[in-house]
Amino acid sequence: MNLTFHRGPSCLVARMSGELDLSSATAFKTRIDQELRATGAPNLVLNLRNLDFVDSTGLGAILGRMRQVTSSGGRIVLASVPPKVMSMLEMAGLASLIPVARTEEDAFRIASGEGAAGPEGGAAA
Amino acid sequence: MSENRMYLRLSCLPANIGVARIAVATFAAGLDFTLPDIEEIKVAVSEVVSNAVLHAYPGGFGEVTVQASAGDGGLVVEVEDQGVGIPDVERAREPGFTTAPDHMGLGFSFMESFMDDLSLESSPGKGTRVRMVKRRCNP
Repeated sequence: MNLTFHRGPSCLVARMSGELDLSSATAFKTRIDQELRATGAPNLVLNLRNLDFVDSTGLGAILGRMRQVTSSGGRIVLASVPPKVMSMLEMAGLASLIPVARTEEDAFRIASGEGAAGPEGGAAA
Repeated sequence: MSENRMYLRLSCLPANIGVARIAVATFAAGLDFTLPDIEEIKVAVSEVVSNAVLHAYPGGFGEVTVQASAGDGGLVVEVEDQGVGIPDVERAREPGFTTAPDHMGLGFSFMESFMDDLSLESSPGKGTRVRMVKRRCNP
């Protein structure tokens, strides 16, 4: 699993690639929590475009970041979710808990409170 | 021609979850499963080996074996450890049940959803054995 961090409008953007399972979940949690503290960003956008694999441990790690961000009053948004990862999110019930956006730009609007996740995963006005 | 089989004996460590997953997926690809089927097999194998890594040897070290073979109209995967066993198998299989923080307790739900058959044998102090079958749509 590889993570790169970028700044978006009032949010931290984490672009993930590779596989998120028990072997990578701890590094995922630690690095994102560290980056959120370092930047002071209230919101988190997780770009999953290049995430090749996730299992229930990986989904638990994503849910944990949602709890972390929302407990501080922020929002978490998932962007560019591949179909097979989307299926896993839906099976675990996370797709109804965490907003999903088609693109990072859509995710920025949702994270800033300007738009809500649409029925097909895009940002609606 | 003898039946094709795969046998892996791995240290029960997080780094080996991906090894097991990729090895079984590669074996399944040789049985003409579709790509979506192989993705489901990868998740099921990841879940069962993760359970062994998380729970079989608390505070200690051990091994997990992963076997794959062609049978039952598809793929048979057997994963076994010699760890502490599961005290309450029925409860462990309940969706949402977990003893590990930051986990969702959906491992068995995913295994049952993605595979066609799942059986589990576990004895306290002796270990756990999980057998899963994935059938091809047109074997």
